[in-house]
Amino acid sequence: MSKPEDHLDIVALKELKDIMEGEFDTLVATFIRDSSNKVEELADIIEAGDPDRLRKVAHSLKGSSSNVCAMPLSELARQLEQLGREGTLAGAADLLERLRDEFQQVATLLNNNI
Amino acid sequence: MDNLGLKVDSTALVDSHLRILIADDNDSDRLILQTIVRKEGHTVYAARDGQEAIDLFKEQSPDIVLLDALMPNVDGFEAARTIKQLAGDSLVPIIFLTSLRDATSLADCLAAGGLDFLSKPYNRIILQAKIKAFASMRRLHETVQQQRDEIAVHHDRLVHEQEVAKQVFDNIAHPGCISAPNIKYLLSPMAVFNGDLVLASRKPSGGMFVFLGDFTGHGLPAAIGAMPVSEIFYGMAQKGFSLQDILREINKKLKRILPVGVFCCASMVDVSFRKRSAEVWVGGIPDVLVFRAKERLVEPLKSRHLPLGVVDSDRFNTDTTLVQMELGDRIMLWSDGIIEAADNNGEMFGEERVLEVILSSQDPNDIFHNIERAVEQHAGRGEQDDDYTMVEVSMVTEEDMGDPLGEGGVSYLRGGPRDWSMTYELRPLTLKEFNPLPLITHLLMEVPGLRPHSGKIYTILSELYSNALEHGVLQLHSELKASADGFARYYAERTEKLQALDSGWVRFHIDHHPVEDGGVLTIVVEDTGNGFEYGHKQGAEHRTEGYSGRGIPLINTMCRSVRYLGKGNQVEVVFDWHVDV
Amino acid sequence: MAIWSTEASSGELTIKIQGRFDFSAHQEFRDAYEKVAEDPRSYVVDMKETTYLDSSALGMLLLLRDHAGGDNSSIEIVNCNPDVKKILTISNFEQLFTIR
Repeated sequence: MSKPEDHLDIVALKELKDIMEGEFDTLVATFIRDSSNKVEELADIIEAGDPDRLRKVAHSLKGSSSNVCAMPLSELARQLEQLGREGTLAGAADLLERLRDEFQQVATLLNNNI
Repeated sequence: MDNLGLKVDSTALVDSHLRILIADDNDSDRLILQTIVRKEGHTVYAARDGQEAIDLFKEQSPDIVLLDALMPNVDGFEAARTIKQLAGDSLVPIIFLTSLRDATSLADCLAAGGLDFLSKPYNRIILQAKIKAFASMRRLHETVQQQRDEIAVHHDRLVHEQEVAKQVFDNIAHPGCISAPNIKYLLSPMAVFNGDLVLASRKPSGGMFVFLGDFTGHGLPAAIGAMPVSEIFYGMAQKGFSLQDILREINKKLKRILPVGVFCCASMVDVSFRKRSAEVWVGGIPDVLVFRAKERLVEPLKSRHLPLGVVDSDRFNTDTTLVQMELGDRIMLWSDGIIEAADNNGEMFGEERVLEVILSSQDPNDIFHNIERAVEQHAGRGEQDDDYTMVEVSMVTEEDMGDPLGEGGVSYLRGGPRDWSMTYELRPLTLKEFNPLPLITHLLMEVPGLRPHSGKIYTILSELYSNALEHGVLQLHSELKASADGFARYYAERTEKLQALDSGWVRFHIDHHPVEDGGVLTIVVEDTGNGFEYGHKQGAEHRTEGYSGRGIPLINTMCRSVRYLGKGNQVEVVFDWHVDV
Repeated sequence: MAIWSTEASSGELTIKIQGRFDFSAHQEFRDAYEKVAEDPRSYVVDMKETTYLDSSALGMLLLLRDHAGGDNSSIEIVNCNPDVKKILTISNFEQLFTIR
C-alpha cells in the first residue's frame, strides 16, 4: 500500500480544503464522477484511434487533476495528451492502464478524506 | 461658460466587488474557481462552454471574463472574439484559463483578445492579484473613455461656439472693401482665431484705408480685440477721419480694454489714388514692402512704432511714412505668419525668400501668388490652421477704383442727416457759461462726408461767434486789440461785460443741403448788437484791420461768399464742399 | 527652456532665459520676478541663451514692465542674439526697455 503523499500534494490539498470549506465534498464527488467518465472516454478514444480527441480529453483531465492536487495523475494525463499532440496512439493503452490505477488510488484517498 | 475640468465617475467600479464571468467545461475546475472568486467577494456567473459564456455576457455584462481555452461547442478563442466584439469600446479584460504551455497556443489566446493567462492548478494568490490588476486597468480605461467622451463633447461645443463667434466676428470685423480691384489678399477663414485681422475701407474722399492687425495669442482671447478695432476702423473711416485719428482711437481703446501683455501688431495704409501716394504706419509687424514696378525694386518700410494697445495716448506715435507711387506700384502688408512659416526642419521662410520671390517674378501681377505658392512649398500644406495673412495694394487710377460712393462701396454720402436747417439761439445765461462751438461742430460732422472739412468749419464758426458775441452783444471795440496793452484790456472788459450780461442773444441759423458730390452749408449768425455800416466791407474789399478783425478775410478764403445782412448785425457764410479734397 | 533669476545686493534682479521664450515659459517667467524676497530696484533680462521669442514672450516682457512700475520701471534687456534682437526691434520695444 503506497502512502497518500505518493498520489496527492498534501499541503496544497489542505489549502484547497480550507478554501472550499463545505463545498469540498461536492468537489470530490464532482471530480471523481467527471474523471471516471473521462477515463472511460479515453479508453473508447484509444480503441477508436482518434489522437486529436485523445489530446483534448487528456488535457482536460490533466488540468482538473492538478487542481485537486493529484500531480502524478495529472502527469500521466499530460503524457497521454502529448501522444495525442504527436498524432500517435503508440503506448497509449499502457499509459491509460497506469492512469486508471492512479485514478483509483486518488479517488480512494479523496473519498476517505485523508 | 463651464470649465473644462474632467470628472471621474464616482460610481466607478471598486475592486472589492466585481462581476466575473467564469467559463470552464470541467465541472470540478469550475467549482474550485467559482469558490475562490466568490470568497473574494465577487459575483460569479458560471458557464460550461463558450456559447453559454457569450449568452451570459450579453445578459450580465460582467466586468472581467475568465475563459477556458478548450471547451466543447464554442471554444474559448471564439468566445473571446465574440465577447470583444460585444464589448465594443469598453474594456472587458479576458483572462484565459489554460494549462496550455506552447507558444502557439498562448499566441492564439492573445490574438483572440486575451490579456493574460491563468494556469492550472489555480493559485488563489495569483488569481487575486490578476483580478485586482485587471479591475484597475478596466477602471482606468473607463475613466479615459469617459474623459475622451467629455473632451469630445467640450470640443464639439467649442467648435460650435467658435462658429457662432465667427459669425459675429464676420459681421463686425468684415474685411470691408477688400475685394476691390486693386487688392489681393490671403486670409484664412478662421484667421480671427489666430489673431489676424484685415480691414479695408474706401474713404469719403475717394482714397482707401487698409489695416492689417495681428493680435497676440490664439483663439477667443486673440479674436476679441478684433471687434473694437473694426468698429472704430469702419466707423471712423466712413466719417472721414484721418489715419492718425483712427490709429489713436484704436490704440486708446485697446490700451484700455486689453490686459497688459496682450496687444495688436499692425500696419495701416492710407492710399490716395488721386495724389498717387500712400501714407504708411507700421507698428510691431514685419516690414511693409513697397514694390516699384518700373524699377523692379523693393523698398522696405520698417516698423517704427510700438504695437497698438501698449502705451497710453500721450506716448502713442502716429508718424507715418509718405510714399509716392506710380501706377502699378504695390504695397505689401503681412503678419509674421508668412515670414515664420517653418519647414520640416524648423527653418523659417524668412524675409529674404520673400524678396527673392518678388524680384524673380517676371510679371508683377504674379508676385502675390508666387509668394503664396513659395510659402506653401516651403512649409508644406499642413493640417493645422495656417495663419498666413498677406495683403497687396496696387496703385491704380481713381477711375479703376470706381465710385467710392457707388453701390459697390459703402454709401458714404447716404445714411446721415444731409438736408436740414436749424436755428439755435443762445441767451445770456448760456452765453455766460457755455461754448456752443463743439456742439454745433459735432452736429455738423454728422453730415456724411463733411468731416474732412471740420477744421475750416470750426474756424468759420468760431470767428463768426466771437464777432457776434464780443462786438455785437457785448459791444467791445476791436480797435482795442491793436496794442498789447489794449489786448489785455479787451479781454478784461470781455469778462466783465459777460459777467454782467442780462439781455441780448446770438442766433445761429444753419442750413445744409446736399448736391451731387458734396453739399452747400449756409451759416447765418445774428446778434442783438447795433450792427455797423458795412457797405464797403462786402466781398473781397474788406480791410484786414476792420471791425471784424483778422477773422473775416480768413473766412473769405475758405468759402463761396461772406455777406453782411440787415443793419450789419447778421453775417451769412456760404460754404461749398465736395468729397474731393 | 529654463528660467532662473539672481538678485544682486545692489537691488538688481537678473532673469536669465534659456532656450525658447514662448507661452510655455509663462509661469516660470512670472515666478522669476514675483517670487523674490524684496522688490528689486531694477531688472536685467539676460537673453544670452535665448534662442527665440514669440509675441507672447513680448507680452510677458510687458507684464514684467507693468509689475516693475510701468513708465517708471528700469528694465534692461541684454545679450540678445540677432533673431531675438530683430523681433524686439520690429516691435519697437526699445521705446519701453533699454536694449543692449
